[in-house]
Amino acid sequence: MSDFEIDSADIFSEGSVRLYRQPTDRPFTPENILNIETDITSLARFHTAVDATFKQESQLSAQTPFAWNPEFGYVTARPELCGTGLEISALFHLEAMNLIGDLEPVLNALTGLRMSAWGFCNDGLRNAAHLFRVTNLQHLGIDERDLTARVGRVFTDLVQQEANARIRLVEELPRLFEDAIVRALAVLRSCRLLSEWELLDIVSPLRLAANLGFLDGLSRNEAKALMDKRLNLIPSSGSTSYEEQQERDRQDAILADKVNKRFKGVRLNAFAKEWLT
Amino acid sequence: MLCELCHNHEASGVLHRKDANGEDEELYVCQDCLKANGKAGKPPKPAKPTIITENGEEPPAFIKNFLDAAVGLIEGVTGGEMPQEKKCRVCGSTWKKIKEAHIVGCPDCWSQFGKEIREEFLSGAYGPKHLGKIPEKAPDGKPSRAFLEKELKEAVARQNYRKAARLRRQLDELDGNGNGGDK
Repeated sequence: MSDFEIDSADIFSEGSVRLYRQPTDRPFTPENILNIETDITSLARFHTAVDATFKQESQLSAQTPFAWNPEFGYVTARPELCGTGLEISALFHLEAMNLIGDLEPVLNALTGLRMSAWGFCNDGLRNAAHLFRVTNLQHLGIDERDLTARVGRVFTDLVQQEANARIRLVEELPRLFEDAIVRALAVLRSCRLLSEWELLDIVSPLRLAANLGFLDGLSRNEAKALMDKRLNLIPSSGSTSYEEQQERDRQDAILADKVNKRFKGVRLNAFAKEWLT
Repeated sequence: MLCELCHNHEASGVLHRKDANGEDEELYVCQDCLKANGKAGKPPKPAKPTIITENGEEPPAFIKNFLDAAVGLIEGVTGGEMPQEKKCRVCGSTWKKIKEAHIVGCPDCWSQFGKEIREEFLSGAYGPKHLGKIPEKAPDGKPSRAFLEKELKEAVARQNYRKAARLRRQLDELDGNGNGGDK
């Protein structure tokens, strides 16, 4: 039986380093808060992105001084943004941890480490697609070096834990994983109405399967793109008029038809069957 | 509301004075009338409440003394009137305004309302004091005092006394003792 490969780039998909500064030569308003930002393209580039952000900040501070207070550090017009003003965040796909039931304790542990993990919620109650944006909450009472090291460690640990969960899922709970995949495929092949939010949620186990090389007819990149395209969805507002509901149903029907056609040929391949049955 | 004395301008203050019968009266007046009639004095203290029991008799002396002391204590704490709301020296923001708008008015507000900001907005995930980077220059373009002090501490710890002396001189210059000599 050949080995499957875990791609950590699929777990850690995108991140950013942000430094918030309030220039003193402009009115002290939230609109004038400077956001110095660098993208983290991969976990390996984490420290490079942090260094690049601070380099940019040094260059800017030579031109314009930033508001600073001995007790609260770099202060801004927004009371939560003070101290280091450093915010590091990244998006994680934690589907395997969810399937094996390890997600909740990990999310709780993040709170203890003064980090937040925001899921994508349509209804405000349940996280869709098990995608989480993990961000540091602490800005004050820690220096930049310690904060960066702590966040870097948390990100690395999260990737490692999800990778271990993926191995455990395939090796110890194959029927559970297969069930999640075939259910998702069945819905996508046969549904008559499908909202963008449902699609984001249902594609999640398929993205994991595609990443492990278990699917024919759906590549890793395509599965990831299907979700990435829907990351900026706006949660639906509560009540809608009859006309709005009709229009929504019409759009859901168009999406369902498209998805039925696209997923008709997608199936578990022989490699998956080696592992899952 | 118009001034109760001149009836020309908008009332913006309260004038306490005695009327023709010698009774206390309170008038809402404009700034001009307020100045013309002397500064508004403190409102007269209300007479102390008389303490009587349910039967209409005076309570025993020890209870009366205790209650009098309690009233005196409360008046001592409040000064007999509501304290005036604190305002930022630089931008004039009050804490109420900052809290409602969720916006801090200026860098100086952080110094003046630091305690309130911490209690209201920075609970939980925030540490007690800034431990991170210190800017090299202050907003006026001069070297930042905090930065120089931190550098001085580090130079002394590393026994780099030449650098420490230079930093000491820079700090003295900031203090206005800029003759360059060691103090």
